[in-house]
Amino acid sequence: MHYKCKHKKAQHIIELALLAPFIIFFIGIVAEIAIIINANYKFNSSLYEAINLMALTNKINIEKEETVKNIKEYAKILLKQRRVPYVNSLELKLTETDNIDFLIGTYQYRATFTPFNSKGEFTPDYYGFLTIIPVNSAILRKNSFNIPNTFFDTPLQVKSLSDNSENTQETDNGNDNDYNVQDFEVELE
Amino acid sequence: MKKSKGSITLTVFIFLIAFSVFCICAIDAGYIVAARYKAQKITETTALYMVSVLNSKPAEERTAKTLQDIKDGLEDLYSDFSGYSGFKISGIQIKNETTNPKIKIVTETYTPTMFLRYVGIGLIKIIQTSYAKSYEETMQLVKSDPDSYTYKTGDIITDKNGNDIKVDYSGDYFIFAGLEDFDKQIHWAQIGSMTKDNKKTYHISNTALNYKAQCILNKGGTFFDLSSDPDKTIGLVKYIKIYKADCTDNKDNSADLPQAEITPSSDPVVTILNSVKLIKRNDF
Repeated sequence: MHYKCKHKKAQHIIELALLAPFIIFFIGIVAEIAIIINANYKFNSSLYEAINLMALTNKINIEKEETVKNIKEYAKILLKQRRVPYVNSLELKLTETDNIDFLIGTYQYRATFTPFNSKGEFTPDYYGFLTIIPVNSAILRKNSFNIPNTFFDTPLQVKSLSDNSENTQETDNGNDNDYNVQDFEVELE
Repeated sequence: MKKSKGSITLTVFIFLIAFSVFCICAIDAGYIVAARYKAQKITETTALYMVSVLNSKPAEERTAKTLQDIKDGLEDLYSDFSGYSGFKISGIQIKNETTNPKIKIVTETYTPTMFLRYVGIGLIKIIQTSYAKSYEETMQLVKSDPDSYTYKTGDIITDKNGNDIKVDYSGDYFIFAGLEDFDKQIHWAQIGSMTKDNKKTYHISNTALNYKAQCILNKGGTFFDLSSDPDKTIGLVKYIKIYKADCTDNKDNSADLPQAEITPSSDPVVTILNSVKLIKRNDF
């Protein structure tokens, strides 16, 4: 009886040892899928948060390309803080239209377990994610605020347009031809 | 001894089956939650954009028909979007057409499942709803001196469709928009050119600097649209400065601003037009 009992215990251990790799592999796949879904969610939310931050940031004389780059870098910081892997695979591109622009974000998750590849439904080496975020084009503008606050410290002098000065700086973006400006040039003469 | 043969294998097998079913449901639920988050953000952005477009139109044009082009464009864009199929804006409801319109947007999309497709559930329908409204806000006067008034807004003004700022003032003036840098120093840009109302162009200067600026003629309410700048260089504004002036035709062009001649009846009122925000269902 004593020997029989020993054999029974050994049998359980052997069975468990044989099954353990499959169990671990199975749990690994489940865990990885969970991480992938989590990464996709965090990828989207980080990009949205980065864009929201940029919309509320007082940026002056910053080119559109630099703003997009800043959004990308901030999104990467958020992803790192949230322990999302493969942060450097995040890319951000800008597509411009008239009033609304689109930021196209991509992210790649490199797979560890790839047993489903034979099904042809998964990318062999990585899972790619894409998001298209519409943004108000005003958020990405340069904001050319070129008059310092000290300009108003002393009372201003006003001269008519006919008194041309070589040092005049264009603050109206060269928009002399719009609306009624030309008419008034004639009147002032 | 016979009874216990293969017991671990059987137990583990049953456990794995049960665990698999649970995981399949959990994974697909997680996948749908992520897709739902994306769909909600798209719906919110659509609602905000559409209500700003509506508010920029005359009251009689504030109908769903006006939004048809935007609707078609967004549906085309997101129909081929990764993770979705058949995206459509299924409902547009508009209220308060005459003043500060409100909008309700309903979107529908289908997201494919990862594992549940093998038991016959291939697509999950996601329906998202978002509410938005436009509103006006008066800017607070934060500083005034004999020459000028400075106004500040709590939230940054973002350029949108249509007019962005309205100034009610009984005198002539130069107008500047400002934004703080990271050191809290305000920088300015003149926005007098961004109105269709009457204005004259001058050179304004102090001892060191000289700029070209438009003087807005005494008219009462004047509307400014930051989009009317053809180069579209200004998108965000937090301050407005009204600099008093006298732009009558016969004044001495080279003189200092004649402060004594400026006798407006009251301080200017600066109103932010076409601000938009998301609202709750009960506020719709």
